[in-house]
Amino acid sequence: MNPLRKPPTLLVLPRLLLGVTLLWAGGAKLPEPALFAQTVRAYEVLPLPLIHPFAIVVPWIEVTAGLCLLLGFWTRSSALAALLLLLAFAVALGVNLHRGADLSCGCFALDGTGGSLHEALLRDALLIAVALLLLLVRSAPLSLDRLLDRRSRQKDA
Amino acid sequence: MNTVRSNHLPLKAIAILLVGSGMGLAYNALSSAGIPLRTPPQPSFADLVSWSLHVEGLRVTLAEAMRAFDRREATFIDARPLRDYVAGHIPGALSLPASDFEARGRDLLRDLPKDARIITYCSGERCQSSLLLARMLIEKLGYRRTGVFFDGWHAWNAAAHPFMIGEMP
Repeated sequence: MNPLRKPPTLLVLPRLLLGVTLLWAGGAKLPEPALFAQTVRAYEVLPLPLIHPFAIVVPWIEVTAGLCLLLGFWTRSSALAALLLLLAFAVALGVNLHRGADLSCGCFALDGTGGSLHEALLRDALLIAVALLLLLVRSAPLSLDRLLDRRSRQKDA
Repeated sequence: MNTVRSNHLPLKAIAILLVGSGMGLAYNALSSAGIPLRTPPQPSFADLVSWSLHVEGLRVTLAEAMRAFDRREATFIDARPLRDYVAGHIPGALSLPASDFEARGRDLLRDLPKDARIITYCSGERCQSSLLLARMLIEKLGYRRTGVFFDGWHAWNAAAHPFMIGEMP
């Protein structure tokens, strides 16, 4: 039997960590798309026509996925959506690190206090690991998913 | 049952991406902070200034300016020419055109402690006197908590916030 089918309650922690981080990161960027667009432009990774759409949409995806993760609603799918974002960020960070670009991360506060690209990439890698872990776990502890699941099973019985 | 649900995994992930995107597009369309969907080839001058102020931690948004005004947390300084100030200004703001700084600046702010919060503004995103004035306040007079309300008088007026007419008391 898959040991991850009945995961320990402690596994709630990585879920909350990823949820809070995404909510924080999205929430900081979301009120002012113009500033985030400027950051995206500075990374010089996306083709020009995609910069504004990306800046408009991404913070809200972060917030949505973050909220779902906090609640434990559609946990694995949220982890998958988060994973896609985190991988995209990793590419952007990696490319600029390779270029030796002089950038501040712009990941959370958009104001140059986000630390170096190295730190940002490390943080991103950690979050990717968390997202992968959540993707593997079938039934997340202390989640809305599990509650709904239990209820539907009771109905079946 | 579990297998059925697993098959929905990518679909639900796409749903999350779409819901998030939809909210982003809706917010962008409705908010005054919205940006055009089509990316301009060059960022506008105002965008660049705004961004660099933000990165330096000097930027004061309209909402922040309003909050500071309501709570009387800041001294507003109007950097426009005196006749613009007389025609209408943020209530309680001092008038100090950037070009008068050398002549009157030190004297005008004699009683203001150095840790006071100052917010400078001029007419709006096409003017630079608020930037100049803020720089001088920080570098020459040591008001380190100075910020720039870059959207300025136009934004304040457009938002129908309170204003006053006439010279300084």
